[in-house]
Amino acid sequence: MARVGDLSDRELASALRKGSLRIRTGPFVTGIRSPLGAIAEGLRALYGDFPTEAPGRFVDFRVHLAPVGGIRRWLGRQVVFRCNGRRPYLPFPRRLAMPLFEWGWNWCVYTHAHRYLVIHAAVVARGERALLLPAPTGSGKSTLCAGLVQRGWRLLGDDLALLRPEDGAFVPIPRPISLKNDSIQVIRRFAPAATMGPAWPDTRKGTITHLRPPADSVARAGQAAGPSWVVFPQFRAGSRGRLVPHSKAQSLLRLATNAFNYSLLGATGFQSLVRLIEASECYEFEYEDLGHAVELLDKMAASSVPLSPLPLVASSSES
Amino acid sequence: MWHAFDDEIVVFNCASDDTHILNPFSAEVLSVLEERSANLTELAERIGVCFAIRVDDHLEHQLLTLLDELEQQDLIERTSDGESRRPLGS
Repeated sequence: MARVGDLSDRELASALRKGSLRIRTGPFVTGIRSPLGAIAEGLRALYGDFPTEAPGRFVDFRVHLAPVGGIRRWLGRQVVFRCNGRRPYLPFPRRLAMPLFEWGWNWCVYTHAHRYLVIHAAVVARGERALLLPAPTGSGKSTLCAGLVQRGWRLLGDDLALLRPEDGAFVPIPRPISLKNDSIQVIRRFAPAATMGPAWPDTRKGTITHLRPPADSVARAGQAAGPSWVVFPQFRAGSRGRLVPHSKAQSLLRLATNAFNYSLLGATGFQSLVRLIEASECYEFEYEDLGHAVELLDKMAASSVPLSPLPLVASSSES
Repeated sequence: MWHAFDDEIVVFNCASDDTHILNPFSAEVLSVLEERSANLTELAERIGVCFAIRVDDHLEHQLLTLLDELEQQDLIERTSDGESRRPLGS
């Protein structure tokens, strides 16, 4: 199966213009159509290791990024994102076409993928044991995630974690890791060889860029991992870095408020979280220095033994 | 639907899709009401047996406060007689 990086510039641009490009990201196939050169460049830089699918395969998300015409074009060069015919955002400046693709793709997942519990969190794995890093924007989650994958952890997801109710495993969707402002330099210093895409200054979130996901994580996107640790990270200037055990009940409640479709899934969502928490050690984690943080989490992983997971959903809670 | 993590009990309210954390005492009250709806006096007697404690005004006052809280969180409701309580949706 060809990877995005195997396509020539001409093949990639042609497939994007015709809307015949199909990229597999974990369990999802995304069809992408766009005449914009920035999308072709962004996909080559960040998605080079991702497999493509032949036209005719089922497409989960049919994405179209198009220049805005009509009267709005007088407001400056703009781009609009559509998925399966829906337009979730107002037009963006055209220079932000690639970040818009990333934000839009997240929207596709958390509004459509209800066979999973979708949690706002990063997930990485050591072997088949997953570390969940749930946190709101600005807490240092993506920086920590980027640091961990640069030190050998497998990337399962940067911004969205897919928890499969049937077996309680995390299904990987390894994608570019979004970095903002000071985090960009932190990662450049921490991993000078890491591949980043273009940087976009002056967005609503400041300057943003994306870290290309490790090729090994992309190649192993079909290998789910069981939950072992739930760590709530918080960057705090001056912190010496410490892992503090956290109440399991509070952890469950925090995950419930961090999940996009918890209420929608109802009892299934609750049972999935019970099972996740029962199988996991739970911690709060303050850190300042990324290298020290990665060391602490490496030690945590090396010293812990797996907790027994609960049996399947039906008997995972008393009722 | 509920699950115990040591001495913290997490309850999922299927009627509202809300999740709550209860202490063992609150969870036992809810459990007792799940078995059978009860008014304050009956509930105090059954809780007294469960925890092997004396039934007095202090316990009844404590239960009354708790019942109000559980009612505010839509975990229980009053039965048609207006005196007894039962889990919401039961």
